[in-house]
Amino acid sequence: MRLAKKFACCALGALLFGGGLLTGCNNPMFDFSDYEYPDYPLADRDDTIDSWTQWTDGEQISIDWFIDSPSYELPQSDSLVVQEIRRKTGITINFRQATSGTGEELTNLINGNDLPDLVSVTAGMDDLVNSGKIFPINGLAERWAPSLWRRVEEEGEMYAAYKDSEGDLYYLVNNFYNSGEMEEYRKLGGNILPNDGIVVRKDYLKAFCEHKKSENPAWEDKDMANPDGVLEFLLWAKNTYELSNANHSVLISAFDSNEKYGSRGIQVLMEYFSCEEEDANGNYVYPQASENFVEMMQWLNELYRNNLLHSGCLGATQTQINQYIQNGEPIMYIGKMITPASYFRNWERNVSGKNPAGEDAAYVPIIFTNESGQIPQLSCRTQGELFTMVSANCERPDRVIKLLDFLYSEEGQRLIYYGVDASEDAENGTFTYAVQPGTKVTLDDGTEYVYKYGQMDYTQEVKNALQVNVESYGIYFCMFLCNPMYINLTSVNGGQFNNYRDYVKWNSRAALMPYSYDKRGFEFMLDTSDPRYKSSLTTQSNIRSKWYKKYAEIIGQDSPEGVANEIADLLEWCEVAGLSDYIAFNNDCFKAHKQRLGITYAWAPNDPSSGYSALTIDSVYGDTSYYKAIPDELKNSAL
Amino acid sequence: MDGALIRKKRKKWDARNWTVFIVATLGLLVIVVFHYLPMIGLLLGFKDADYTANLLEVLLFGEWVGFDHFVAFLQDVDFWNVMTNTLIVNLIMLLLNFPAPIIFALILNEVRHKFFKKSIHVVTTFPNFISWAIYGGIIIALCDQTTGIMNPILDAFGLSSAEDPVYLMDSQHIWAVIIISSIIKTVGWGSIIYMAAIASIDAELYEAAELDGVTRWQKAVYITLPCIAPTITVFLLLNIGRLLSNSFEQFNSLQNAVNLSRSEVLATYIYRLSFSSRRYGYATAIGLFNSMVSLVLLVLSNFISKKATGRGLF
Repeated sequence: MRLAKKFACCALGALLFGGGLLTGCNNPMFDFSDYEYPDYPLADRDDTIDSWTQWTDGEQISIDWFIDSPSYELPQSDSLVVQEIRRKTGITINFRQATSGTGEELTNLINGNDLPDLVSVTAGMDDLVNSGKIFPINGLAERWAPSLWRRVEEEGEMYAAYKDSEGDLYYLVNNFYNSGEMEEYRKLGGNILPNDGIVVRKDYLKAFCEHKKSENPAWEDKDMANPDGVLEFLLWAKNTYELSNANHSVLISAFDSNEKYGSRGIQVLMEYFSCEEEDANGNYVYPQASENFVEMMQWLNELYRNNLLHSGCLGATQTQINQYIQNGEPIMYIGKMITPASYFRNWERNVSGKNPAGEDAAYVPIIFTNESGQIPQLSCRTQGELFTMVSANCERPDRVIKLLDFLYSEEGQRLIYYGVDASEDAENGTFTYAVQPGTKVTLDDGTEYVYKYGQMDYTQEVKNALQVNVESYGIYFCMFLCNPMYINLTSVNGGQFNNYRDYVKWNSRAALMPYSYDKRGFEFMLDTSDPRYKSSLTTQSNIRSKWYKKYAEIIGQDSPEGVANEIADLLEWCEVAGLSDYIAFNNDCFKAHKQRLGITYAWAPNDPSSGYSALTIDSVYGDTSYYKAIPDELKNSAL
Repeated sequence: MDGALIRKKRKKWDARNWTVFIVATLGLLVIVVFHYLPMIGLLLGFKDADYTANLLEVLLFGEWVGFDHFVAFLQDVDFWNVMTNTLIVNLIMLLLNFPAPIIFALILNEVRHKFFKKSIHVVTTFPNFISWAIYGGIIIALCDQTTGIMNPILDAFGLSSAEDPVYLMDSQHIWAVIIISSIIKTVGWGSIIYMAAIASIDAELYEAAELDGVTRWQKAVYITLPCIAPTITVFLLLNIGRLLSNSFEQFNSLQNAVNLSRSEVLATYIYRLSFSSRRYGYATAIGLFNSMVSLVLLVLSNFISKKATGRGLF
């Protein structure tokens, strides 16, 4: 009997492993070969014919699209925009989205060889490409969407920035700002907002300025546009308004180990304190090793020692931070501006019931220099955010590339931002042309401008809907290939201004625009083909993790000397961990990236053409002429 | 002698009991598929799998790096910090959290009022069914300096003030928060097994003791505790085996940049390395190291227990 048991166990084991292996061998999971183009009929060679028009009725297909970012909102499957995409391309898209920003779900999809047809990621795209599981866009476009490739080549800059060494392009990028379009937008009086900033309570700042003027009539608010001036204001506000030590008087965007500098707040403060990333010779330098960085950390330490910034401020989650903003707790908030925009709005509209300030109840941006008076250079990230790729698992790449062509085209962009033309579809139409394409106008400087795409305005019904429920039409929800310059150039408002929050989002950074600089030169990627790539990633991961863990400890030191010593010790540790090699490798990739972009300097103070030397700070409020007044009809909008 | 008796009573299984074998096979299948087959992944700890986008390919054809990852971990600058946090928190939990449900079960056993007893048990068991993500959020909200209720309570006891408010989520207090919140969450649920063990104690023992005039305290100490000692031993050994393991969800939900120096434990460190830094090979090696040390601890404590008390897991 015992022998029989042993035999049964062995047989079961063999059955399991054998069965597993047999099924495994036939499983595509074990197929590590590179992509192969399927044998579908090729598209018309004429690249002026839109590829998405080349499919026959009855060929409706369904595809999966995975978005590896929880910050995007997915369109409703029955929304007008999605229905129109389906009608135009014959494709039903099943969107799937990551629930966290850690990349965990994507890792599982890759390793289970379960990548869906389309994948949009924010990082790690080159590793994905190197695994051989991604179709090159140009390869697909050449076969089935020549019109897409024409568009990509016409735009030019995305291809130049992201093509690989063999000239292949593996992803289309959203939020990519074409410099020609940016210039065009500036001509029309627009400008690009910085990504992040520093805001303070308007009522406190106004009262402080009045107080200073009452003491000294010659005092101007630009006199406080330096670290000492801001500290004085914060202390004055804390004492005058009797804010307790428990109050979250200064808040920094929540710390996040996935962020480059541990927190977007630290990153933007580094920009305020001019922690340079490039030396005068155009070499990459490590910003945390700069004297300005030490000064910045000592300033934060001073806030800490004055009970303005305590452990609770540093340990707060973004959800808590948003709540504190809604309650008007922080005198100053440093960091990302889009995420808490709804809570700035709630403070303005006194949702918490704690707002005594009426019209002055707002958070307004401020600008200030470091001790030596260097003007800040705030980053406006223009080089893309979400990288969309066609997976080699895709069974109908011929159709998927046509879909991408549609979404990338002017028609697709128009659909995503404006919906359907009301003059063509009276029943479902959502916009009308306020300015017809091709219309010529004379600008303020006397030059002529031709509206290539025209200008669109929503129908009144949509305008009303956008104030209460942005989901109803699907407009602004399919943003995975969006070109933000399109809406800037074609909207009657010069951008997205449909409800109260849109204005708050704009005004929280608008006055900082003269100090924002396109830092695409710094948005370089590490060269995956370089033998130093992996060791460099390990060094980067170790160093970032170390800084992330140490920030609170450094800020919480007993003295400025303690801060300097802690940073020196940490840099010493970084050196042992391979910082020099890491910088050398980064420098090579940085220079190669700049060469591709055709620029010599990425850091404005080094770039004579940037206009940096002409910049001055005339007011701590920045340039308030960029503010946009909220129209009365939007003041009661739900959003 | 007991063993001989048990052997005599044991039922002999044969081919006629095929239905039982089928049911057992299902269980075996689950164990093989979900516990043994994934162990193939441990090979990643010996391969150059960091930053790859295709783990399966690396698993089958990747470059063999031997014990490099293990050596790197022992030399890792975070090694001592992570190990110290893991061990100290778990040792404190072993000292406080392990006996807590036993004491609670003993106390509850002495409660005569049935409705009150059941109510208390339900209320204390309920937190166990809340996920750590939600429970952690509640703890964070309670500890908030301006809107939480902990600071006013501490203030009432003179432990906090408006001038010098305490932030319970910082590195100084996080261990206390972790341990106390864990006790609150698990004490009711953990006591169920001991309540069951107490319920199985022969009532005659208590009756005899009552005739001899022993107090309730003496009954608890001299009858109840010794009778549930085998159960306690089993759980103690299992807990010792988990000295390097923490509830990932618990630590992850309570971690922040301020308390990370005290709240980073092996479980969260491995997670961060895997999914944030994509160092799959290195993280697997640390995971395997963790498992090996746990196995050694379990075997060792089992051996000591058997020598000292005659009882053990295996």
